[in-house]
Amino acid sequence: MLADVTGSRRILAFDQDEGFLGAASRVLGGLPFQFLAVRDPTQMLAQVESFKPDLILLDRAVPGTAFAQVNAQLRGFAAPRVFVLTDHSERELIRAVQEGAVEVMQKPFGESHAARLGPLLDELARRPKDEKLSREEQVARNFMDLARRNHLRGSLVVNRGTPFEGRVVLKDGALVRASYGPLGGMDAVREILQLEEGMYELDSSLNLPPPKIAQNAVTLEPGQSLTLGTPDTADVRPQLLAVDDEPHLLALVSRVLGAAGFAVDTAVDGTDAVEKAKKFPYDLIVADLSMPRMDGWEMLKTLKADTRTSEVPVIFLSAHDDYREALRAARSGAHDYLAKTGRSEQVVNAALKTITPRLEIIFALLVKEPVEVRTASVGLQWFLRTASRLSCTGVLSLEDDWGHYQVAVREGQPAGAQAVVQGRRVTGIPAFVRIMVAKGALGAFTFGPIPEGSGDLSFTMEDLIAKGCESVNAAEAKTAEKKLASAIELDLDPELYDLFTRIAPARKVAFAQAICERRMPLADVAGSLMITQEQAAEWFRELLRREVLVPPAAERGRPDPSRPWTPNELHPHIVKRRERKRTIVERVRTQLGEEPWVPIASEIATVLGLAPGRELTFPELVKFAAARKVKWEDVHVVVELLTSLGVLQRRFVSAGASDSAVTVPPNEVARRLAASLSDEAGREAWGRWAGGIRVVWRSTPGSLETYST
Amino acid sequence: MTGPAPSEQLPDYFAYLKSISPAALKVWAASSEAELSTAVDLLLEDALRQIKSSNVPRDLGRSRMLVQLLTAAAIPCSAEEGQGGQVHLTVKHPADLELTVRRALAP
Repeated sequence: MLADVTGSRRILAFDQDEGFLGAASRVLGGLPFQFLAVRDPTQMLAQVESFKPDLILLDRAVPGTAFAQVNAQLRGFAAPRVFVLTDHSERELIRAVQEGAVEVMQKPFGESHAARLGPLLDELARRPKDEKLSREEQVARNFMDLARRNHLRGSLVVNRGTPFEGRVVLKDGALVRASYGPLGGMDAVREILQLEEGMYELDSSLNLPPPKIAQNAVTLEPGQSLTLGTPDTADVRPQLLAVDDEPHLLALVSRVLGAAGFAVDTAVDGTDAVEKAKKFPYDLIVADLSMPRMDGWEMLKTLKADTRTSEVPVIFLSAHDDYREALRAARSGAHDYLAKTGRSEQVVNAALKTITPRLEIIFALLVKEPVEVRTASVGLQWFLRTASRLSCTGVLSLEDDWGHYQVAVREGQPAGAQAVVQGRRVTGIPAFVRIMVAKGALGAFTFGPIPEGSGDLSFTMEDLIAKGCESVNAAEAKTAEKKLASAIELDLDPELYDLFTRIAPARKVAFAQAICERRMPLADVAGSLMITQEQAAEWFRELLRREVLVPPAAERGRPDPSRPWTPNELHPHIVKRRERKRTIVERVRTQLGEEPWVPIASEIATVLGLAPGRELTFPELVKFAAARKVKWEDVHVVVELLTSLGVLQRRFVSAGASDSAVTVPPNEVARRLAASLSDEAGREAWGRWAGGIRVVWRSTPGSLETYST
Repeated sequence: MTGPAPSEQLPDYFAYLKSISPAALKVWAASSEAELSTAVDLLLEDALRQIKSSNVPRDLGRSRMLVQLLTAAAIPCSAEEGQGGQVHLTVKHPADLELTVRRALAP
């Protein structure tokens, strides 16, 4: 039967695992498929071009960054990609779809997999040839087709428990309903699959659960407070900050939310709100969008950028009922968006809905029941503060794709912390910092005695949280202070980078590759990936927080920077420089040949490629050539080749700028150049603008370390 | 023959790239896969004409000469010689846009 549908189609498989390639070769060899196995990622493009496969099988568990590199290269080809997975989790399935897979198959590869390939190819061949789908639409279509083929049943949920929860409900592979913020149907599916920070869960529920909203059982008079009859006598009323520049609206919102059981504080604009949020850990902020000094958007960005305030949920109130504004709020990390309709119960319901996951945890802790904890939903700091207020004793165990974490709490105070990431176990404050960074971790708090050997912390809970926030913020402040425009001066942790490229969404992986391997300036990466500068800065901070990028070994391992280097400290750097130079020269030899290129590359590598922050302009390039009695054109070719390899960066610097970091992104130069080619006005505009820009090459040492073989 | 070198000013730089091949500017200006593809074809046509007219012996390697010419025009590229003298060329957008064009050139 297979012969009828498959003909002699070509299947190419890439892996560095002989087990998978051997199994695929055996199984597909017995069927009317032409099969080609590729092990070397550098040969992939040439093999694809000559073999012209109808379908490509990719093992997603290939160690190192080979998978990400190969998958990125294959994006330009029409051949559909099927990912072979080792991990059965739904998150891995979603990642595969986001990275362009049309289908996934679980290892070990066998006859049942092979039998699916023919019908899959037939189905793909029936797709309209001339349709023009965006990348996002393609991903959504691939997901729905995959769901249909595999009869997926259940709900794909992101941001569970928040008002901006996204949900795709599937029954026997068909879409029953989808919703995300203001979107529905395929629009919602498309947006949900584009979420960079989404917590994807696929459960078996087919129905949209009725929203859990805590009800305000009593209505309080102004000034009256709620007293709980718990043994702890803790005041567990949610603390809310209302923000508005209109005094009468602020008074109204405060009154209705106070009557609903919230303890309400007020702020008159974004600046005031940020100051207050830094001093007190509110459970919720309800803010107007349009305010003087600092508006709601800026306030949200500022709160998210500071670890101390990044967890507090924010609900926006807007004078407009704008679909695009609601979507922007969802993307920016707001918890809800409400139009000011004058109906106060809407605000109360939204506020109660937002804090419901936290109230559920409070009630579980009060009755000493084990409780599920999602840090993305309730926040680690909030949970630990609550456990402290309620004098809990037990262990919070969490995990995410990065590793496993534990915080032991004794009578409300921290007893110990440990984190295991990539097999590396750390304890104490460093462990706690890693747990704070794990914003999407999932786990549970279990009451009971603290295990032996976990008592390595002797702070109060507030001190521990303050130290953790300080540590995370310090790394980011250092970045801002030094205006680090790229990762030039940072070292790469190869193991954590490898892990990052395997578990992060595709666009983040592309970002990390540009930053970590090609050492591109942040501004240029933002331009080429078409993301905002803020987004790029946030992803860069994540690489720092995750310790994928770390301060140079020299700074880390030298106790007293004022004393001279010892030979033992210096030696690794000499060896590293020599290896780097050898790699640079070898790359030039491969692409251009021996003479005159290799001697020029060797000189350039010595003078420029190994020196941090050195710059070169065209006139200097000419002097360099004259001093060595070579043609400046040949030196220019080597400089451009080293630029394309990432050893040097070509920067377009505003003339007169005192800081050479003030650069014009290359895509901006390209855009203006394109306009100059189209008409006379563009040509004149180019002449006026480009005359103020200099071309400079700057060295990026360290960029080739990840290429070394 | 070595000619005058450009200054460090951007217009001079692009004037020099244009002197290598006018199509180089079209590659820089491309904003889509289709535009890049068209511009690269023009650039290759120009480069192959230059290689042919230079009468350089074939054993020097056509892939390396192509890389040399395209790199001189500030176009990031890599080339591999396949079986039977076919050259597999990959050209990326010079302004770091995520656009790539691949060509397999017959012997």
